[in-house]
Amino acid sequence: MTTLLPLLVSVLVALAIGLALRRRKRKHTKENLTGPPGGIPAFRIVTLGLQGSGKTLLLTGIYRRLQTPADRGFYLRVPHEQLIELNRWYRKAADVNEEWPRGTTRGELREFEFSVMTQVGADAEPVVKLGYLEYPGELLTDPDAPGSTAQATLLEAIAGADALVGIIDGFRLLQAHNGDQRGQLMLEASLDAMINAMLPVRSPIVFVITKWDLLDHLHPDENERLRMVRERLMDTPGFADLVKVHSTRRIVRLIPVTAVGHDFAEYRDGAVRKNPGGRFRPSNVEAALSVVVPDILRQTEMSLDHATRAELLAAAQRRVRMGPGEALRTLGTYVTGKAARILMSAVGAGVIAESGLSLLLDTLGPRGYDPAEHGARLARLGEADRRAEEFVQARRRVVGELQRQVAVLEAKLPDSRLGGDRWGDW
Amino acid sequence: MIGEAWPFLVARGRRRGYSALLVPGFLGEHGFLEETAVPLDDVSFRTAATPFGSLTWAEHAVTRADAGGEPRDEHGRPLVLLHGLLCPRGEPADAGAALAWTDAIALAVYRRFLDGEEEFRAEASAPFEVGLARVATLRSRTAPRSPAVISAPPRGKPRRGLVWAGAGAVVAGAVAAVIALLSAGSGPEPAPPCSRDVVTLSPLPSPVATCVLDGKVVGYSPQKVPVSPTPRK
Repeated sequence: MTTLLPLLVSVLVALAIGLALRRRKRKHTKENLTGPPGGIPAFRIVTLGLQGSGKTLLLTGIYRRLQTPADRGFYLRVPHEQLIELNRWYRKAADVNEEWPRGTTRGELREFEFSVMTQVGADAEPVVKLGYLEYPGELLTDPDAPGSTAQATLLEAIAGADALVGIIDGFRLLQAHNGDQRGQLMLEASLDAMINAMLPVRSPIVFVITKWDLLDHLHPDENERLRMVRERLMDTPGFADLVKVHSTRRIVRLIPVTAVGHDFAEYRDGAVRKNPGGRFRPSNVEAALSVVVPDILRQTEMSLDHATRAELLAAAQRRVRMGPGEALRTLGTYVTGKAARILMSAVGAGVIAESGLSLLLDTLGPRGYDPAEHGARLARLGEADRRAEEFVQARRRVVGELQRQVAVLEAKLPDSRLGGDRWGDW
Repeated sequence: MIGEAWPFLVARGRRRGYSALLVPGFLGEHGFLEETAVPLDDVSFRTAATPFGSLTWAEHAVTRADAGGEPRDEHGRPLVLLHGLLCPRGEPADAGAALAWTDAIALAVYRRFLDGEEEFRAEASAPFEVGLARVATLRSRTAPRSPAVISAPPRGKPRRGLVWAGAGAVVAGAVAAVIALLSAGSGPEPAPPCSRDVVTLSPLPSPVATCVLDGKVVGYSPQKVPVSPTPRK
């Protein structure tokens, strides 16, 4: 008892200090509105793929392709310790004299945090955050060990994801194409795992075919090759049903990617091996990430009834005329109002976050950028609002660029649309 | 001081994903083995504190000779053994020697696993004697790289006030623990709790090990049967 007393007193003192600091911080935040209006939208992405399907290399490839702005106007950043990990995987994968990276263990389950960086005024700032869960694929198919929490964590993450990415292993497609029964069974097992996880969710889904380079020999034309694979997949009854269900609400995409390049690896002597003279040149990997944010926003917009959509559109128009500070304050009426309730029931917990709703309203505003109008508008605003307005414009640019990348993908590979054609173009 | 160490093995096969293939016989729940023993990149071995004792492990890259064939999985990835020992009462004084011992045991188990991956069930390990360097103070010798992020990350920003409160609580807990230790004095480390489903109470006059069952310290010997068989497809 005598040992419990100091513990209780210490905990109470610590709580009091913590709450006081929290109150002070909240007051401080109210006084300054210089950051992004509504905060930084954060979306969580979970890939669904069995062990060896290429989730880790896809993650590495995405980061390698998007770590510099190139002609996109945005780039990705990760916390330093995650950068070290991604670079280590890259070195292992890209060196033809090294083994492939070993598989992910249960102890390595973690979320990678990508910040989408772009120029906001004179500074590079994060405008969207994307979480990407890295985990061992066997958690999808194998029973968890007694006392392990990894599987429960994964299932929780799937249920709370803003978007799900189904990984279809190109190696299994190759095996199935060659008449390998085990390959066919494993392909079906991976599709079953996706069907089970994706059928009940309302968040956007996208399918990615990894190791696309292993299928190069199927046909010289890439879109024709994709059509052949698509037909095989759609012949799988459960998969076709899954696509059909989701197509009633959104565009469902099938994106072929290679995280290593078209001449870097080959299937030889029963395993995928590196070619001694191969060049490491990932292709299409960034598309897997680029489609996610526009799809989430599109999904949110399309899930609303006509009246709610009109209401939000009017709010977006008003936001263009008012300062971002005022726009943010009026946003509160939607978060607590009928439109927000409809949003919540329509799309679940992800996008309804104030930051996500802010991003949606940004993109609902008038398209196009008029420098003269923008300059005049900035001149009317106070300093804090001017900074917020720069954030709004930066977010709009990034979403616009992501949409452009999706359009480029569709132009190059029309068969990448699995379903949902009636939703039209972005 | 001499103590007991229990070998373990976590590995992936040519087809099957990572799982525990050799489990300390007294353990009922061994999920922490797979979540703690992560691959090592820059060190030869690592020790971490767990609720069941100190876990020391090393990595063994499987060779063609080890595997009796292709030392890669069907995706071309190298096969790696994560083997080591669980010491309920301290840390091994000579980790290198102990790991050399578990390496041989792990390799034998792994060969049996490769002979029939789909049907293989985790085996229970028996303890062996090791010299203990540190008793009853289980600390991570080298911090585990990225300990498993078990809970899903929060959606919102962390609440600094609550973080401060949490930090305060941790400090308070540490202070209270020190007070408790000082007032209680130092005694022998208590035996680990028994797990009924995997432990056989020993009728022998000198049991292999002790654990706590229904509040009493009892002796027992490890079972020679698979631990918590888990059906696989």
